[in-house]
Amino acid sequence: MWKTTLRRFLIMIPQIILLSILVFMMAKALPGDALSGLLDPSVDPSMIEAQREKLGLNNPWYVQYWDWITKAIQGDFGQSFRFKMPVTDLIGQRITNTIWLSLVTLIFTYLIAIPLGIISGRYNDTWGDRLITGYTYLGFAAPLFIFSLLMLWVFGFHLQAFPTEGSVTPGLVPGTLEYSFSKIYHILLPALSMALITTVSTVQYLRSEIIDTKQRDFILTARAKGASESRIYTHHILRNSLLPIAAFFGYEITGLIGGTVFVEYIFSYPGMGQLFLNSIMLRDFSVVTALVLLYGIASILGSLISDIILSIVDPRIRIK
Amino acid sequence: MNEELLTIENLSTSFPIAGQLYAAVDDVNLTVKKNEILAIVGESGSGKSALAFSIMGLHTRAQIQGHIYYKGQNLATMSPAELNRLRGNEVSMIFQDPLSALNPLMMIGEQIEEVLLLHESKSKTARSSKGSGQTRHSKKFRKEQTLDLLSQVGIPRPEYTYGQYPHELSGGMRQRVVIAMAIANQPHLLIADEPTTALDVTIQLQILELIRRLKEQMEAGIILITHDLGVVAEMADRVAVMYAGQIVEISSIHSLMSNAKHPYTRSLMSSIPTGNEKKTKLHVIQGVVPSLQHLPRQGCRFRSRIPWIEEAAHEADPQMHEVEPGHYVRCTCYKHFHFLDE
Repeated sequence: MWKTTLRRFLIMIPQIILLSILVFMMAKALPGDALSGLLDPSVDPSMIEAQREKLGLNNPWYVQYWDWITKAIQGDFGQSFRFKMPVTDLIGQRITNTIWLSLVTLIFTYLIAIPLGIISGRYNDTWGDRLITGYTYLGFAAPLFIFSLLMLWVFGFHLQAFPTEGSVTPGLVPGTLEYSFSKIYHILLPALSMALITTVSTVQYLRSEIIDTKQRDFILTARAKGASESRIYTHHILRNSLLPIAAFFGYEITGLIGGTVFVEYIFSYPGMGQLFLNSIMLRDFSVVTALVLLYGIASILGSLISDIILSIVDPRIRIK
Repeated sequence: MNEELLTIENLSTSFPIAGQLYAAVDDVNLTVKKNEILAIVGESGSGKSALAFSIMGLHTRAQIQGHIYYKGQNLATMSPAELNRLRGNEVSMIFQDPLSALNPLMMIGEQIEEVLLLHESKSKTARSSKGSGQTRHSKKFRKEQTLDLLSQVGIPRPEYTYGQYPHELSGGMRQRVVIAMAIANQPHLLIADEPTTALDVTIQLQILELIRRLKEQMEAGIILITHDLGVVAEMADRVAVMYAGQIVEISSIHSLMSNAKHPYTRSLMSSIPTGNEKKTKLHVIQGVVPSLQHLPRQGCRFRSRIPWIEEAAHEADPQMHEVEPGHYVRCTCYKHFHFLDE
């Protein structure tokens, strides 16, 4: 298992290097930079040109890339042109918020998906199954941002059961119990909104996987051994059916990134997603690049975690 | 020694297809005695496996009529819990495809131990004389038993194989593991459903030798399902020939080999390549076994595949006729049967 993990880890390095080059090139390919547009039109163009020269914006791309990546490795993503503060500090404030939101969403996702998937798969073609499958179709059909708005309107605005913005009640002191509770309280509604929508693919996946595994030959073997129905599920069907769910985990992380971008914006939750959308609109090149790179690394890490989980549960993909 | 282990009476197993029931096993009667190998022969689709699955209670959607008496208890009406006490214990089964019959995520050792664990109380009484000082339910004891079973079925390095996963073993080795699981609790009745079909010829022989040796050791009754008449001649004491869900001929192996009666049995036998007459064309039975929905439910079911035999030769409602003591044939058409080129 350690061999597989190490090998898988080494594969990640060229992936990340390639990703960083792509991200950089794409950001450069976007029209305009932080000095175009918003500046006072009466400013002398030669002044702007001099400023560009000073910031290194006229260097060939590989020089700019090298400057950027060597600093990035040391944790310096440059200055945000708009917020007038280091990108690292800017992201650092928000990254923990997003990580917590993602984590709680993931927990909700699996808390919903696993029992529903099991019921639906085990008792397929019953009323319970039809109800659950009906829900998954609704989940597939409903766009996340509309559903989030609906949740915000119903639970936040109408019932006033949850806060509608921010990540914590203002005025609380970090480190106190009250502060932590307030944080969790602010996460619940956006996380639940996201989980209810993103979980449906996992429910469907688990359902069809269980129905599939039920018909495999080794289940007959288990029956012929005299194993009871519940033992067949716990010892034979579930473990085999959860494999693709584990493999799906990396993809889940990618979906989560897309989800947080919308949900944070809708719930005015100060995370990376909200910053991302704002920075794109303000053409804050250094922030966007740093965020895309981080998102990219997060999905690469997600698939790494998938593969490690798989190598733990599936003996067939371990390297001997 | 001639004690009857299994008696099947008027067994029909039907499957619902588009709201209607179709019998894959149709009114089958047979018995299996202790220390005997009964072979069930027939083409694909003749209902052999459906019969075996009915005995083991492995069908999930089928409707079963008739009686399956194992030592006087009717398996067909047993509750799942009662059935689970017998399955893997007194009655066990070897499956056709060893490649898919093992759980890919469990170690070989765990899979064999599972069947020991599930029937622990039985092994306690059966083995009470042995292993003094051992805690019977201990993991260590089960592991010893498992290693013992692995070496019994001819696995060269039991300790090593114990910790391997199915994908690390060859087909022959996996079938040995499946057999080890089937014999773990020393069953009285063993059903082998085409145990050698998925294996190559050299391994086939070893597996058959193994099954025969185990029969002699355990004095179990064995139902051997196969479509290979060579295997039948090697192994069986008695043979039942199945066609389209019915038994068309049943007899001792000697009587069948020297004096096969039913047109289907004779066609099967002449379809075996002998190897010493290179010039002659191999006999082919015309057509295929009709599918479940298209089975003729009246008259002789083999009729459509021997169209040159006149209609009058068949019985309207084909019955079993005793042609020799213990040798039964269905339908009267056997009296008038000849091959097309005769």
